[in-house]
Amino acid sequence: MARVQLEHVTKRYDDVTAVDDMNLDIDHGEFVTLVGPSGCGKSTTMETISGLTVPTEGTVRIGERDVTNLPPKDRGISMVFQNIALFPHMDVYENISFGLRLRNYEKEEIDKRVDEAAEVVELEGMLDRMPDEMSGGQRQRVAIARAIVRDPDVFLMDEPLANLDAKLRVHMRTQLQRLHRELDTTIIYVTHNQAEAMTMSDRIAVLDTGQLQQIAPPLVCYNEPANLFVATFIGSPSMNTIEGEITNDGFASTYGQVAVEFDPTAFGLTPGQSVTLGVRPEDVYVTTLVDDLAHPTAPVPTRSDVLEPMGDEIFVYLVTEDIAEGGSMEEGSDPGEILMSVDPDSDVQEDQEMDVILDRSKLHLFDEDGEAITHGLVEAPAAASGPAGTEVEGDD
Amino acid sequence: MVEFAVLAYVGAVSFLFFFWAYGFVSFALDLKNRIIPGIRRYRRGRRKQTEKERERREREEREEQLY
Repeated sequence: MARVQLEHVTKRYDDVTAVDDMNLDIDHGEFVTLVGPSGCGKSTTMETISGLTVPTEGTVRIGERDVTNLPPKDRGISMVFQNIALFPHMDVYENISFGLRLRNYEKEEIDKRVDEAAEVVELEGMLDRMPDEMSGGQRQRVAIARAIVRDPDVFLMDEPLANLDAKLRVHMRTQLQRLHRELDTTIIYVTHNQAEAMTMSDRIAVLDTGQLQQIAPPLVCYNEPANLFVATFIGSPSMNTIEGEITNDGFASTYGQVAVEFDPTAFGLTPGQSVTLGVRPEDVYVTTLVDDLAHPTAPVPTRSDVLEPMGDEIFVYLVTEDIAEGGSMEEGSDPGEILMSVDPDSDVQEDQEMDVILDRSKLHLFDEDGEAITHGLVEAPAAASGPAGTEVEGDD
Repeated sequence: MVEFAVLAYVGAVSFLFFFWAYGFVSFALDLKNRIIPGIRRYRRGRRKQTEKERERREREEREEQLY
């Protein structure tokens, strides 16, 4: 069983802290994706697990073993790198069998394993080809075959699809999911691509500035983000955030006329408290286009500013501040802007005045520090940090 | 006539002495400000390069253990 545990792992480079007190517990057979913006520490975390980097503090465990100071070869792991890194002077067979030959495996065993790995990644009949005779996707599959041929306890994948074109990336995504199902091995995957993280993972670990923000199944991160960073990072386009404060009747925005009626005391909120309201673009509706919303807010007067037809939906940038204050928005600031997603056949024009409503059951409230207060502003509040499967870094 | 010759001789020797001394001082200053710092820079660069190369090789070796 290859459970991977990181206990209080910190990695410092001079005065820069790349990973800060990271705690991760990944079960055997889990597909966990580390996701976050550039420089958030996801690759350093991966290198700490792989043994390419020794942590400044903390412990790394694979299975029951403390591997913190062990070299990569003794950890029972394989890694697929972003740059593929095949040996250009070796053919596919030699590339795949490199790790086995290094470990002095018998020729028959090597042949058997290479054939099996080539079959898994659909490279049969290409074993005598050279890397420069292959496409990017095929080369990446060779790298994956080289990783699986050793039958490791844990697979590490550091942005393995980053250098592939969009179509091939989608194809390889499904192949990796199939591979995970077939091999039943722990996979730790690093990406900054949300689509990869959301579609492939059992759980995603969202990182920022070297700290773990949330680790939970993709939909939990999407529907119940632990804080404002996760809320705005997960989801494309990003969640709308509306600053405002708690009133006796609920929420009132600082800009525009967004008001949500609810009993603040039911959520442990006090009037005058500064909060940020979060709403995803798909939870904003034009009043004339929706009849049966169970928990609508009061209509918000807006004007459509820019339309972005995407084919399967239209993104509508709505301006609220203009109407509320009778002035124009400052360039570069968007305090009164709300992004709405509507059906492609909706009759929405640019510069059209319209009232929109928000779905109260899909609203999120965050406190001044950006920590989630509640998800859904109806009935009994859901505990922000306690949904099933969610772990939140306590000392961020 | 003899006095003029002596004066000319002393003047010429002084002239030559000035540039001879100037050359020495200039060379000493060049040695201090350019040549020695240059050699130090070069050796530092080589050391860094060797260290980087060693780190790169070590990293490569470690990466190969993960193949």
